[in-house]
Amino acid sequence: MSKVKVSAGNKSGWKQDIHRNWPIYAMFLPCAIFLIVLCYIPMFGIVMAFEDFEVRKGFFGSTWVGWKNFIDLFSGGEFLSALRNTVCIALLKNTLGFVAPIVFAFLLSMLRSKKYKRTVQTFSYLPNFVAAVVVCSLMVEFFAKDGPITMLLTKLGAENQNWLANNKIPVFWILYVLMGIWQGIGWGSIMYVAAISTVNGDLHEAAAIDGASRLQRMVKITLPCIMPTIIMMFVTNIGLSFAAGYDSILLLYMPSTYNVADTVYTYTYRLAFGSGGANYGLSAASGLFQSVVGTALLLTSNYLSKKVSDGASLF
Amino acid sequence: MKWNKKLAVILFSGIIAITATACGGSGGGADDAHTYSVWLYNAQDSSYYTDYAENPALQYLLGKEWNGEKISLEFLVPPLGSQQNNFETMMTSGDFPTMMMNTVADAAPKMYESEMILDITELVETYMPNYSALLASNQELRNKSVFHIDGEDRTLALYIANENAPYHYTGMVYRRDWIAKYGTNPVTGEAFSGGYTDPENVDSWEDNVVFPSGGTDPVYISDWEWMFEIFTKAQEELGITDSYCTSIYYTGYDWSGGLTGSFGESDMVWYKGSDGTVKYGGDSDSTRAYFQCLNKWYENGWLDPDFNERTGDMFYSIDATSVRQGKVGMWQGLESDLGGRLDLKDGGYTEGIYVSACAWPINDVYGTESCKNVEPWCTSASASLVGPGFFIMEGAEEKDLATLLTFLDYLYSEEGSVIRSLGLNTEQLAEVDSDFYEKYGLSQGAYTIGEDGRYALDSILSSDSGGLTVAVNVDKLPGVELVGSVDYGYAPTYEHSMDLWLQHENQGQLWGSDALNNMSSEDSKTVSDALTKVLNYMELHAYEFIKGIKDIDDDKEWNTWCTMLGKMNYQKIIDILQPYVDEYPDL
Amino acid sequence: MRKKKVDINDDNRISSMVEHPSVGDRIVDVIVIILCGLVGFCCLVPMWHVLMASISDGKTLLSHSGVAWLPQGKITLDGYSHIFKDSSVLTGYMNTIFYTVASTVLGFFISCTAGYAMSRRTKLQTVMILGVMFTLLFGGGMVPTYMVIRKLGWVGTRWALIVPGCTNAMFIIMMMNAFKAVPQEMYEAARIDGAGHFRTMSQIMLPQAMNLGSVIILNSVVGQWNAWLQASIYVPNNRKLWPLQLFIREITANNENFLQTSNPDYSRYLIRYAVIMAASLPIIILFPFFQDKLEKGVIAGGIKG
Repeated sequence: MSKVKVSAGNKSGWKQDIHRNWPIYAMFLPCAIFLIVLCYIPMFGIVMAFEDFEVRKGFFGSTWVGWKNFIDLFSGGEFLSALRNTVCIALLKNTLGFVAPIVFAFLLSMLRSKKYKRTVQTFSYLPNFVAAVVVCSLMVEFFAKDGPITMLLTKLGAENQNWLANNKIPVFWILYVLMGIWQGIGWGSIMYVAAISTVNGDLHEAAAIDGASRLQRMVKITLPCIMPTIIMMFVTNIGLSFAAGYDSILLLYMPSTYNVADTVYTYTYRLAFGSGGANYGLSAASGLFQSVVGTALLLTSNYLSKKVSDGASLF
Repeated sequence: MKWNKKLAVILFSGIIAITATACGGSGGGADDAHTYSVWLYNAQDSSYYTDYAENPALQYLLGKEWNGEKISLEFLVPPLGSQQNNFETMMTSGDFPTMMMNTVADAAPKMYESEMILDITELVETYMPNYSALLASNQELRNKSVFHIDGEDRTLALYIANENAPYHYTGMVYRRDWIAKYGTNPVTGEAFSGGYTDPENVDSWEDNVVFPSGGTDPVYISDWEWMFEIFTKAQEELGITDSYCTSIYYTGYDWSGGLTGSFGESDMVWYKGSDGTVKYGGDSDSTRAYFQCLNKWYENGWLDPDFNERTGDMFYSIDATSVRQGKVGMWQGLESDLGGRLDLKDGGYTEGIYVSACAWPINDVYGTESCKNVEPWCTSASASLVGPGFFIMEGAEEKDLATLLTFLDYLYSEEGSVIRSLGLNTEQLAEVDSDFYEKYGLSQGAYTIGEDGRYALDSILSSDSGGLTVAVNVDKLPGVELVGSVDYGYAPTYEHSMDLWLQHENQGQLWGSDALNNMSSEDSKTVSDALTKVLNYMELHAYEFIKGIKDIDDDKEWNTWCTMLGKMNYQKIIDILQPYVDEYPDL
Repeated sequence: MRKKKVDINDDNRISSMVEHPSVGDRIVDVIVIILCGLVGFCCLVPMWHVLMASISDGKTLLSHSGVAWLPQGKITLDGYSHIFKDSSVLTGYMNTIFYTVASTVLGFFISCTAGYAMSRRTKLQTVMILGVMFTLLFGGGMVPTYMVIRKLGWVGTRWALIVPGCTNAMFIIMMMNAFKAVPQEMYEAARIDGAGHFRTMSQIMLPQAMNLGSVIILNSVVGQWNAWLQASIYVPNNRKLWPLQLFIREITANNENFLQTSNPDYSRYLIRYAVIMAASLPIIILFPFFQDKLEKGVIAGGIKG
């Protein structure tokens, strides 16, 4: 651990640091124990990605196959299209999907009636409590040939069709991201609502006296104030958006839409747990690949946010 | 703030107190040599009782002494839906039970190789006379239980042995009442007639339906297409606009022996030919004929236009909603669909429904001559005489296995198998301290002995949907499963339907056969990888041929399909499979 | 500091105090009200559908497609009676409440101490942050975790359901940011007054950081309330320890194939909807009160500081 270079570290500095900050380190101890025991030690499971893993042989008995699982993964016929879909969906998630709860939080904070605000807010949390399976099945019903949303779109001039069976870019991507927003907009906004609520009222008053409109005040005062929260969420979301949250696609796609709906996760799922029998090594390799890409994205976005917004970053 | 703090302190100390008391009492049970743990994939419906050890018939059995000892069983049953997780954690962590159901485990030789299960040859010979006798008489049971390893015959598993009669739970069914009502005799042109002789009895159907092939049951694809025309007519007259005649699994085929086996001696994947050699059928004329057939059905509006969008459905319950509403003419159904059982008696489309089974058809319309007039070769209907098996796990040698196996052997005896598959009779019920039977109206026991000497289930059980039957017997344990000597009270029409499902026994479909179970781990991995790849490709493109997105009659398109499948190196898999099929020719 | 007592959650104060709303403001207001209503409506739909479906008639519901705006067929409570006929579901409620409270308290303690430590300028700050961050994306998977927990002797006990999921990297990082956002002067003042780090954290900084803290608590409560996977792995055979969600999953699975029996009981179709209501209704009802309390806590913290 001590090999990691910390800004301007020298030996005497270390001594002083330990001497002065040991209570801080002591406070980190519970967390350190928690993470080491429950997160770091189990990480030996990652070896699975380099093994022809068999349940009955275990982690240390299975045959070591090196990079074979990765080669199998990358050389599969549909890997590239799955990767493209993952990237595109992740991009949409980080733009459209990321902005939606922030905008919603702003809208909420602009409501004058407290009762109305509370009602809307409570309603907006509801989808978070409904199981993904149900949300997906509603999605299927809404966008089926005779579904209510399809009817609406048909009236607006779109062709009558089962929208989830549409394999033209970018229909599925948008539908999937919209579903994510539908499920998460209220829950995702809690944090921003909390952040907005702590913005200092004095600033608002001063601006209002200066004649700034409500909208202007939102953009000029509130937004900068909650920027650190936004950046924190953005940096972590970028890392996670590539690595997690694709399981519900399994409930929404079909062979005829694999070309647009297949993601690295679902593609691996089919290859590893398809008809032939479980291939744990392959699925672990895919998970590792997604984690590495996620980490790279996280570090990059953190670096960029530091550059762009002078110093505001996650770490 | 003060009350806040107090509250926090009270809450926190309360939690610590509760945790301290609650977390302590885990206790793995007394490690007695006569307490055995049994891992089951699933057990009874938990609304009857929550622990399988509460099973009244089991309590009766455990009330007796075995080998001079009292024994007790402890059941490990994972919550529904998490069996696979449970099994994986159990295997990798080495927390083995004494005995384990093998539903999700690897084949016995592999488990033995990796020292997870015990060789029980001597124990079986000494303590299990009934099982040994079955092993000598039932070749299929022997193939599954006894393996030749390191130059010795080793008994590695105990399998449930089905008594004589074959049984199959699913197959194609159709609305025969529509044929009788809307069809006409193909020779004379007269209208058919048919109906229930007893309105109360859902199996009492009689009609004078004759199919174009001459018989009273559909035999050929041409018979099916004749039916589809009648179904279409029926739907038109009833005003059903949002339906179809039949559907198919969303991939466009059912590779493990379905309609694909009807087009000559072939299948979608690897199969065994009539000369005993392993072949690959994905690029054969038969598969092409299959697609031509389905494409025609699709274009005629007979096939469910949205079949490839029903990805959430199982192959035996596709679009259950439409089927249950009586809008569909033919589907792959279950026993519970037969006869008039689907009639909702609410004036809907199910009014007067009579569902009959049919065998897989014989192709007489599509493809080359070699694809026509051949009995369906690969079907999933194998009249297996063997049910799930059980392993005795490594580590169990510390227990008194002799006693356990003596107990289990009783379930293979004549007397024991009755308790195992049916439950308790009146006298036995008196000996056991449980009011479970009485609670569900079975105070006279689970069965009586009929005039023909067969066991007749109590009417409460024979009309039960399955939950109670499982709760009163012990059929989750190994033993003999009575089939032939039980009178289930089936009507002749019902039994005829079951026979039709088994009419074309599987002759070439390899999956689940002994040959594949005996493969080495390396080979089985290669085969399953190849299978996944082949199916993955077919899944992507099969529907295109059926829906006419790609023209199946266009040689160029077809050749692309064949070349792509050819790239999957299927010859290598044939070479791997052949020696195993040679060694274990029985499917 | 006294003036902060005014409800900071309320913008009315500002506008009503200093201005008569202009026409432009009025239009903005209307648009905002409509947009919020739209979002609220869209979000209400799935839950409404589930609620209506759960009290519908099973047979009618089965043939109904699209959203159930009203109960389909005769109103029944059969779905609910299927769930509650087995009293073990009540054990599930008790267990879930216990796990939720215990796990959230423990997790919040760890998140706070760690978040505080990570928010201070020390030589190991980056190391600590990266160490936490790493676990956000990399994990060993289910089986290795099981093996570790087994070594700890927690398999089959309540510990396995309380400790492992009590916090995660995301919560810790959020807490760190919450502490970072607290004005540096408050920290310095407290330190000069001679308060130790733990006291500074819990009594001076935490009340200020409670806005994000309450979000973490909410997330943790809901996460724990919905958790079932760990229970299915660690206490599969001890039903006395099962949380509600595991019972619910079992009930659902038991009834999934109800159509495959002759003469099916169509009310069993309602179970899949009724369980969602039974599982989430308590927390949905409690939620607004809970949130109110937490927000008040934020303000109270402001006064004390």
